[in-house]
Amino acid sequence: MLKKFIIKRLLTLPLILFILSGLIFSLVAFLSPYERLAVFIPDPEVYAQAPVEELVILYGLDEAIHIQYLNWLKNVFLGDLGWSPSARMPVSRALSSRFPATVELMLLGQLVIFFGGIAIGTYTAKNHNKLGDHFFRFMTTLGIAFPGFVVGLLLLVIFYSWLGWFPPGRLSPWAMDVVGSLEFQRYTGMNTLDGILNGRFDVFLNSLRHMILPAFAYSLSTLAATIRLMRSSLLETLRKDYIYTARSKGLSEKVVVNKHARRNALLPVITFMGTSVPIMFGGAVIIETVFGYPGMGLFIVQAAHGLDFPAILGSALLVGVVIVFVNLVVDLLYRILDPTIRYD
Amino acid sequence: MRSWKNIVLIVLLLTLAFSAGVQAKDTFVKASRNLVDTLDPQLMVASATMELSFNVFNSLLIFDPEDRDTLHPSLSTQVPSYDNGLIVDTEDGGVRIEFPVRQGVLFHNGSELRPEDIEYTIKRALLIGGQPASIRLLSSTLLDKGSFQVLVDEIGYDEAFEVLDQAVTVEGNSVIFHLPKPFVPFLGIMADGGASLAILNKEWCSEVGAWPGTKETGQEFMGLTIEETALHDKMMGTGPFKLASWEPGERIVLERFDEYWEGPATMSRVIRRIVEDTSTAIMLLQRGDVDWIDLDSPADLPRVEGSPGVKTITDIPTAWLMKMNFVFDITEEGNRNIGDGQIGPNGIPGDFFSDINVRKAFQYSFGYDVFINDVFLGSALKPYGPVLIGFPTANPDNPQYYYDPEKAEEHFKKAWNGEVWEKGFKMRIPYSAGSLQRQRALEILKDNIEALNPKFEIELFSLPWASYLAEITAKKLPISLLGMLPQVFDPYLPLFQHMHSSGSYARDCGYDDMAREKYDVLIDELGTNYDEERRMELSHQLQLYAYEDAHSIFHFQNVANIAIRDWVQGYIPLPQPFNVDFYQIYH
Repeated sequence: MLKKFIIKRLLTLPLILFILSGLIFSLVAFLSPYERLAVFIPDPEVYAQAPVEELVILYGLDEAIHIQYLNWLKNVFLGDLGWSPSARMPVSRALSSRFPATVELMLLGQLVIFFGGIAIGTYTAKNHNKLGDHFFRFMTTLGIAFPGFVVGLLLLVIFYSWLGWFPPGRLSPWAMDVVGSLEFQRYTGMNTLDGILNGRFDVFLNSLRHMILPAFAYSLSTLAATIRLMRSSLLETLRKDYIYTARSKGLSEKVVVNKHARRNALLPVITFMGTSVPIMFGGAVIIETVFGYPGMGLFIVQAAHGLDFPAILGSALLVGVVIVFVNLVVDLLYRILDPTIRYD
Repeated sequence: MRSWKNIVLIVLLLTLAFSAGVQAKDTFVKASRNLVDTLDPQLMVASATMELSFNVFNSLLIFDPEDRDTLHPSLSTQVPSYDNGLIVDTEDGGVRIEFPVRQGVLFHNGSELRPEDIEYTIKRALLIGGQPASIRLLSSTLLDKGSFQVLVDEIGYDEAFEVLDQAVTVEGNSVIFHLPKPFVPFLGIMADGGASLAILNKEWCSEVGAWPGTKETGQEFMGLTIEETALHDKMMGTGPFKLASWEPGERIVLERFDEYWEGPATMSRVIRRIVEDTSTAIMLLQRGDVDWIDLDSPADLPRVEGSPGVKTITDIPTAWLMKMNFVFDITEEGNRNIGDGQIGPNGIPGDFFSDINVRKAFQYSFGYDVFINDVFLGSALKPYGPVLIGFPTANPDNPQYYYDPEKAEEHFKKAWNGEVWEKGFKMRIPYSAGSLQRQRALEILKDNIEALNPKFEIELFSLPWASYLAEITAKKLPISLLGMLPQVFDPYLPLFQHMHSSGSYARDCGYDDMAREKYDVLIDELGTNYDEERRMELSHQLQLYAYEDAHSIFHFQNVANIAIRDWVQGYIPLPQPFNVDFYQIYH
């Protein structure tokens, strides 16, 4: 049953991606060749020197839209996502360097959200209406209200500009030299993991050092929301009859909360975290800009700004795949948390 | 739970223990938000790429950085001239220009520079249809066509290649250029400092998959794009630095070339690092993790001035001029920017700006000083006209327009036989989204014009660059805000661009007939006459015409401001905005 469920889910993926690519490409039909040309002339100051008509022909921007789509689709099946004029490299290469950077940041952020959100949310529920609860409720309000880039800049000023602890960028120059050398093998594109796999713990630590601030800034509002959601979900669960039963059986409060209540309280939290993943892709652009962290957010925004359709399509396909997998993982986690959930 | 806390604490401490590392004193780090578009010098258009090319390659000549009227030899041993016999008029009305090639110059791979490399470089630039303006200019000069493709379309590939082949030849240790007619800016094109006309190594290019230099293979490489070029991610020249690594979107690293023919540079390493956010760049500079940042806005100066270890250099002249261009023949069909297409409260006709009094009225309506003070905090120059300040023959005594509401009113009252003043007008003018200087320039113009007569209405709105570009090419904008960034230090290029009937502005703004009638002859002579006095006369006359015919409001010429670590010495301003000659930098 489980296998069937997984396969069925995965089989929907090609259909979703096909519809997604078609919808995005259909937007191209609304653009003139000159609007699409903008990505090849990024700077208004060079427009006067640019051979506009020649460039339109050179890049095939005046071809019929369905021809352009079919050519693109054919290349995708051959593993070629096209060229990104905004990134100045093949789309696949841009994604393979940008995507792991964002995944790395997101994983660290999700760890912070998951463990921090659950721990603090549990604490506030257990200490309902006490000082600790009030404090964290106030902090979560701030966390949700404060714009991410303001938090990012403040963190950078305090922890980098004043203290020099956590610099911006993805790696320090010496670490970039190591990672860029022929001796260093790129297995995943994630500097932390690749550092460990290459036996370079110094690279792992250096990468972590550069990720701490952006990961925190990135996940702050989701962490705040998760704490609140965990708190309210746990409070509701603690009022259920089976909890009273558990208590009346003589179980300790710790066992009641951790073993019985929390599991069930996690369901809405897991759902929320699952839906926050695609949102975090978009929110990454500001954090990536402030911290000089070259990830997917910045790439997608630059592609959108320049109407770089190969990059937009490639990104959309990748994010589509991520969403399908994340939803699948969320559904599987449901089953683990609540065995009564069936897949049929 | 306690063990988890301990693990997290230990990991945090360890990450702190691995410091960012102290910057080596022989490494220079520049932070910039400008991306490198390609490493192929003949396809690059971004100024960021030109900076790299400038430091990795050499060209035949080079401009004196402190005296832009003077050329020096670089890979050539002499600057050709009539006096030294290296420029000779030919019987067919053309010109033969000879460049004796310097001996003993090594490329980064150890091979020696030969005249055939120079011959190959020029031919490749023309064959592939290189996009930089200097290559297109070279094409017009040597092939008498805008591009090699145009020549092929006219006479076929075989014959066109013969023309190409004969345009540049090698004789002994010299490279000879055969110009069908004189072209004075030619030497300036050859002195772009290793930018677009960076000299490539023919053998190496062939090895890595670029055009091998033969006729048989030429057609495959015509119309080359960035994604197709084998040189997109490779650079190998004769310059003081060689490419070490390029992580697109992150950084590019250059290393000193110890066998550089002028002697090794002081810096052993140069890193050009992408930093998108100005606040982040300032913090990096203050901490010493970068040594140089470009300050896009003068408003950022107070944030760095006074920082320990940091100094600023301000008001660096650049070769970037901005103007507001009137379109004489605005497309009327389906164009919301001109309303009902009639002079009156609901629109303007497509030929609104063809009336000289309308143009002059707009010229006198613009608050030039207010704009420069408002947007640039006084840190910009008011241009004299189309020839940029700092360029040869730029005329500081050329009459100019200033904000004068009385004169503006006077001209509005004369415009279209008084109809404009009586009936009023309405137009919509977009600006490119995100461009503060464009937005502010239009706002000042709008406010001043509307203050003259309540019947005048100008509506402003922003458009994404892509849409703005489409509107320009469709001639739907009443006024476009585009500038000039000439790469050759000769008045011919900006005057050609602005005023020749084949130049982009006359053509796109609809005054090409006027250009054919009045300016083309003068500009053509400017391009072919070597007599300096006569060139001065011609240039001044054209600048006067630009004033009298008022095609554009020349509202500012950019100056650059930079902030650098105080150990950085030897910086010499280059005319391309924010480009740095790393060879001159020392600690």
